[in-house]
Amino acid sequence: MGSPLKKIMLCSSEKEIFSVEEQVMVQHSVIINNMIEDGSYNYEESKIPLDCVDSKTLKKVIDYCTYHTHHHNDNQEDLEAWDAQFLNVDSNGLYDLLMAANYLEIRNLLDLIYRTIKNMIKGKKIDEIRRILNIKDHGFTPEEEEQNRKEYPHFY
Amino acid sequence: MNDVLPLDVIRRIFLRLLAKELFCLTCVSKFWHSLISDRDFVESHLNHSSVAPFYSCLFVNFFFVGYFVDIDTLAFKELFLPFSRKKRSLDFRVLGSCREFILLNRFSHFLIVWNPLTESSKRISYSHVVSRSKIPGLNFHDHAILFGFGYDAFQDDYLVVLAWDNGKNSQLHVDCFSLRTNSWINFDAVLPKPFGHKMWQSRGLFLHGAIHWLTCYGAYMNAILIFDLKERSFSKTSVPVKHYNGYSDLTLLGGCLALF
Repeated sequence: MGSPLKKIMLCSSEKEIFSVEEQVMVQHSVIINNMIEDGSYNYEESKIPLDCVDSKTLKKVIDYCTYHTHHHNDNQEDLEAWDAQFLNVDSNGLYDLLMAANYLEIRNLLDLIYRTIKNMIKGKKIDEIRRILNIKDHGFTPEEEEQNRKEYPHFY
Repeated sequence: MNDVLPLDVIRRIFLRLLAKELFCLTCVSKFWHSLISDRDFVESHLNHSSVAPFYSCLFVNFFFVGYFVDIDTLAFKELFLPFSRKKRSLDFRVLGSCREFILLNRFSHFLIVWNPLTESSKRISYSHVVSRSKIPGLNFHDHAILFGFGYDAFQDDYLVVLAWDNGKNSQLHVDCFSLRTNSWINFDAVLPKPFGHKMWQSRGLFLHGAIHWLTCYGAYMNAILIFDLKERSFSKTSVPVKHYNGYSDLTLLGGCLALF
């Protein structure tokens, strides 16, 4: 565990620097926790490069970690309401967050996104799922697709 | 989502869905279909604790059309049995089920391990038993001394257990088919005394790593025969409460064995 006063620098794909309380990131990101623990982070010079995370997404990730660090004692309902509001983004935004959370290994955020995507596809028709997830090439031959549509019309 | 979700992410999301929801998703894309049908994925899905079990029933009507019924919603799906049938006679039986599989017996030909949700199936020949037993048209339901179907978690293996005798010297043969090694294993097993092997109902039920059989109706006492799939050995246990007339059958109810 890092000291609560220490700050670390994160660098987005646009080379924008974000200064964050060390504890906030250490508590949530497995990757950053490992970096701090094994001593590979130098507080004077290091900036953690996050080449695959853009500034907009990184800011959201930091917001999530900060809020959950400071509000972890709040009641479950309030936290869930905050999370729902937090993930009220378009599907591109959700995808970027997912990739960032996956890269930084932020498990509770990943879990939240998985649940959200699950609810996006659960009980939906096939055509709708393809649209939501932007699956253009389903890989079935026209015959297979026709066969599936014939066999399971209620899925479509 | 303009980009394709990474494989690991898709798997993690799929693990949170119910089997019946996943089945519908097999039509989304060929890639999803192969992912959901993958043996390793099915295994992880079964072991994933956050997914509630999915209870379903299989009915086969007079015309041999199968109906797969979801107990929660009573939604049903029509299924074709995983073998071709020419004449309309009763030449197959549902022998039992274990986790996602149903075990069928197409008489005197083969057994079929069938997953009705993904409609995948595997045939198992038992011709070696037919030739050794000298019973023409041998089927499990009518000719086996004991049969059962279960899952051995230690070996991650599904086993079909069959005990039979050749009717002449009444010597008991026990054969076990391992789905993992895709082979039959024959071993000498001794039934617990004082019960002879004619004492038991032939159909066994799988629960907690073992297959269970009840004594025949009218036997002089009730007992349950247990075949431990890990140890591959038989033992017996007495029934907890005596019924003056004896119990006529055994079934599975809410994760327990039930006598009635």
